Amino acid sequence: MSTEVVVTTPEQDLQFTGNWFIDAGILGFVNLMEEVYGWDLEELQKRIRKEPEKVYYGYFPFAYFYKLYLKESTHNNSDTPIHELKEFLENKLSKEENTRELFDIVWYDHICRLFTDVWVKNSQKKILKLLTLNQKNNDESESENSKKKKKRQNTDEQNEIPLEIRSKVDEISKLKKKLAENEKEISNLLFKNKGKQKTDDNKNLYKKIVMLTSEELNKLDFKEDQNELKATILEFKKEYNDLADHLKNNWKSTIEKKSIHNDNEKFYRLPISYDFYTNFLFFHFGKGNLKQKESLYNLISCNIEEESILGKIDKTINKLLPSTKDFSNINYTELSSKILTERFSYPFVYLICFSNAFEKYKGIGNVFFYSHDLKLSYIINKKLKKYKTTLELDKLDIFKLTWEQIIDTLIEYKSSWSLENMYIISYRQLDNKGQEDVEYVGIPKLQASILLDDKIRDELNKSIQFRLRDKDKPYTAYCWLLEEFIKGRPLYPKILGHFWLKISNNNKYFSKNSSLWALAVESTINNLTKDANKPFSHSEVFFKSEKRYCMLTKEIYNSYRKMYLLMKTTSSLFDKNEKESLLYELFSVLKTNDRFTFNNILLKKLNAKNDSKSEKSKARLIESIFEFNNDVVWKYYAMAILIGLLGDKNE
Amino acid sequence: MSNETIEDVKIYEIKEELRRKSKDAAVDMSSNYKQKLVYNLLDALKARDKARFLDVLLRAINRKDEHYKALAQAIEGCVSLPQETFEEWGYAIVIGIMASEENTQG
Repeated sequence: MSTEVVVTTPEQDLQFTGNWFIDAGILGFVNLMEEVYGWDLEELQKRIRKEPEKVYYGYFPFAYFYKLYLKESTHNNSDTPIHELKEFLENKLSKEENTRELFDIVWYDHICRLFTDVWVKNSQKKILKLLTLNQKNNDESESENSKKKKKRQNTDEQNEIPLEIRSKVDEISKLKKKLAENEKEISNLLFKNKGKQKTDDNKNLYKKIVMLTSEELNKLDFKEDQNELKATILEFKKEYNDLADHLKNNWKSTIEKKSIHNDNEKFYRLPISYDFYTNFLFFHFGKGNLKQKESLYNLISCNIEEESILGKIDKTINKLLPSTKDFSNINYTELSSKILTERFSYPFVYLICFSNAFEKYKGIGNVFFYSHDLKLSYIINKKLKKYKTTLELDKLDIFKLTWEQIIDTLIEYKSSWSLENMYIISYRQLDNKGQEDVEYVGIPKLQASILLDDKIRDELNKSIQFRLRDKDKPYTAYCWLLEEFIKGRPLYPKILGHFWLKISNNNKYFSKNSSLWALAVESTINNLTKDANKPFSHSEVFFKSEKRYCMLTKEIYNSYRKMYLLMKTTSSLFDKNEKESLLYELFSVLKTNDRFTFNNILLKKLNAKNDSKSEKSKARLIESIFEFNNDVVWKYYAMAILIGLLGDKNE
Repeated sequence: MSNETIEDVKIYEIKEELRRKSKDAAVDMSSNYKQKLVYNLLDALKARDKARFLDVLLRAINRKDEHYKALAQAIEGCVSLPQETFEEWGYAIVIGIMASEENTQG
């Protein structure tokens, strides 16, 4: 990763830096704001220019938590809270208040209020868990120490419950004790049909009780002497439901008065969780409401003294970075975040939006398209997202689509430079457990210049099925030619496998044209690079020629034409029986990559042909064999001959 | 290249010359004779047997014709080349002989 950060425009303007870690964050920030407020890039830029404080201390924190809220909430979400916030912020004159006050208002009146339902549900569950855990502590199976520890923890948590609610909790606790005496009977009733019930599963038992609808309750067959039990269950359920109202009222009045105390701030913790950051800042489970608020404020305002975790850049802030210990170069560790805070006003705002730049796609994980231009990246990622909502994509499609979008956009932009400087970054999993399938795909200069040709791109833009042998066990797979090409992998083995599949199973489809184009592209590149030891894109030929890309595609067209001719000639020269016998013989030789044997067989066959009709085709084929008789390109043309032998089979 | 001591360009030139000269030389051959010759040459090539290949070939071109002489001279240059290049130039000659078919017909 490059640590160079260059900002040349006025600081307020959002601009890519050339460092993709930060740029992904910037795009993530833009995406977030668009998702929540519906602003496009231009609108956001305008607002940042006009009133940055409002954006970063007002709109941003709400948007960030709104997204976290969506993850926790199961309700259908209305836009009302967003409109309320917008109304509030828009009616505020800028600079009327300082950022601290603005932030506090947004926190209590908007973020906390947004979380009301989620918090109530969560707290309700927490209390129920607390009660059941109390009982669990009496289990003899646990060791003394862990029992004590758990008990202490529980009392701590119980003490955090505010007085107004504690009376209600005590009531429920009493009822629960009553129920606990009849636990076996209840579980017999509830789990009768299931046939199995774990004896220590008290937690599930009470969960089940509170989840029971009145209809379900009536259906349970209580015996005559169990009426009291039924009444207790009913009461327990009622009290539990009442608790929700109590909690709701308490929460509302507390956040209205902004009167959360240090003693019970943990009780009022906003229930948020995120795979990407587990113990980071306000995600930390031990941080209460007040500390969550402070963490968020410190993060936005870059208050490194208060929040030492922000002082260095390592794994805590982005899972793709190593931890401070793992950084191998002592000169750069610890990588201080000073370098960022000097250049940006709100660097951490971007950094924690990192994962928002990625879009999740089924089957392949999270994908982010990166170019060095914010606007271009923004447009392409947006287009992709649009496609995602309209189509069910699989792995092949998404890569295909990505490049389609990229290329379309670039043609609009008329920019070949950008194509050469783009990356797709994708990951399957990126959290505390580790990284999985993190991939950076760039388009090399050479591939980029070829891809700009419509015909070639269209032909390579296909997925083919191919057969390969792995540990003596043949199996088939699919590959997308364009992806292979972009990643710089050889296409020939794929075409060979594709052909192999066809001749081993005649029902399979063989993509003749795409195969020929793929062979033509690869043979041309290989042929041009064969003289120099360095890759073609670094060679003199590439730089000397003014129309380097035109020249290259011209060559490719040329070899395609030759291959096509070769294919047709071969196809017309032999009859069906000859084709069949030659096909398998030549293919097995081609697989062993034996040029001379291949030539020998073919020439012998040609030599045996003596009719005057085929004289011309024969001569043409012989000439071709001579022309391509070198180690670099022969196999591509041999493949074209084989495709010709396939001829009628496919037609 | 199978032989790295011989440059690509050089071997290509040699091959091209051989092909051209053998094509010219084979113009006078009857197609039946040519077919038989090619068959024998390909057999020798398949066995990577340089001696047999030269034996068959030199017998065939042992005539006073100008084209044959030119071909013989070209072959002379190849005989001393390393064994690895044998198939390269061997096939060039065979291809040249086979390619001359068109001329005889036309």
